[in-house]
Amino acid sequence: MNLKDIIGHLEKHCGDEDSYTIVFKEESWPMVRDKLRGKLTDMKDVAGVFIKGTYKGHEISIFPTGRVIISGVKDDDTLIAILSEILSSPS
Amino acid sequence: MCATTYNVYKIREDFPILDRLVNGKRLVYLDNAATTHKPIQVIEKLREFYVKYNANIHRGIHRLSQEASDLYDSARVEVANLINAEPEEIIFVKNATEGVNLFAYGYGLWNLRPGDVVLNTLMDHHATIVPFHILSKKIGFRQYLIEITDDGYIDMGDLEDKLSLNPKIVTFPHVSNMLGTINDAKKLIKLAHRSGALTILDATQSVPHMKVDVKDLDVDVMVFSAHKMCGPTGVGVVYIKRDLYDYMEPFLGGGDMIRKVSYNEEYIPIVEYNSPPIKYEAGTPNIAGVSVYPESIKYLLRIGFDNIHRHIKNLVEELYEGMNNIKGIAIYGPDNLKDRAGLITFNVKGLSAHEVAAYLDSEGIAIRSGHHCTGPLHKRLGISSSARISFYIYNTFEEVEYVLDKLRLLS
Repeated sequence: MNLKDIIGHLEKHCGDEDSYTIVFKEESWPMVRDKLRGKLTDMKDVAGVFIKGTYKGHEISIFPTGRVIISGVKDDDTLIAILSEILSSPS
Repeated sequence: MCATTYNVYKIREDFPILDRLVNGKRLVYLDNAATTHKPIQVIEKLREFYVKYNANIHRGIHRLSQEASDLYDSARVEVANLINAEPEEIIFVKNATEGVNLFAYGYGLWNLRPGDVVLNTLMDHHATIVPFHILSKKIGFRQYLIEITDDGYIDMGDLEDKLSLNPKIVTFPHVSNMLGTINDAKKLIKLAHRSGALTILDATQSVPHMKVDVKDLDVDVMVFSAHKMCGPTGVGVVYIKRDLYDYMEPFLGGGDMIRKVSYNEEYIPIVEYNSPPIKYEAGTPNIAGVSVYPESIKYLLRIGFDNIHRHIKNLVEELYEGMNNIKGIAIYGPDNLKDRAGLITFNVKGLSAHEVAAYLDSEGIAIRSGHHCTGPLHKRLGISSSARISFYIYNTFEEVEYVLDKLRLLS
């Protein structure tokens, strides 16, 4: 899976050393959301709007608008590796 | 619900963007400390400029160039009047950050010496800290940050201590863009002057909200930007007290800022500068943006800065009271609301600021999350980021209630 084809926007949070927001393209979002949900542990629903959980020590929040926040990630390469691992493995 | 001071619903009709939907919800724009929206009058004026007047300025004998030059130059007069300055004390740049850099390099590079001291505060924006940091590496002067109190004010004891170092320059924000603290600028400037320092006032969060009078403040340098007060982006303003021009060199070189460029018999260039403020406006400026800026000033003056200030204060009071009653929300900055401007910065227990912002965005609410270009302040507060709600003239009490309802779901 080519991440460039499914990621619309990627942003390291200004001033935060280890936090990213990823906005996925609309057409790939349902697949991405399901994959991410399937991998999270300690999952909880926040305000009935977004899901927060953990994947290998990284906190991941999944928002209904195609947006994902991942923390504990140092750089773009690490982020891409984590996403590739989650999205390429079976749900 | 508090009474408002003007018909905010009538004002909202002038802002077409407020009708758009975000994630299927009506946009609730609460990121005004970052930038404000533009009324249709300003948008139309910008269109009119390009339709009728577009030309380069100060370099054409033709009619269009003269008309564009007149618009640009008259904007300088309007901006000067707004802050009670003289037109020649107003320099147009692309943003407030460039304004600080202009003075740091135009004055600091030529006047600061190794061992000198420059002071910023812990609540300064990076825009006033970083230019002097860069310069300190070149020159070797010392740069220190002034402590703040736990309740979000400049620590006057630490200020007095550091002023005893006889600093050459002291910078501070009129209004903190993170804490919302309204600093007593007049008092701080007086204290800095007593120690022999020049003062740089970051007025980006005050000029859009209240009357600011540079003569009354006796400030030496002040920066602010058009886009935070319904004006176009790409227009910053530097006020520099006229006498300081005698000690400054240009920040940027190029067209318009020169009177004459020639060369001698050895083919060495000879350059004679223009007079200030043109001396500090090299190259083609943001002619359209500057020319349109007075339209936004007129718009705000029609509402009245006292009314604007009161309306936004009312919104802040309503929001502050509501947020204080939500468990798990930590608010930063003064508890005394008379010292707080139109913003509230906070965190929600168990959530990152970005999660709060993303959640609110999914409900159509635009707020800011991050460090708001105040890294030292966040370190002082022991946090890495925060969420910020900031108001402007078109925000309503219904919007305050809406955001409170959403925040309650997070607690």
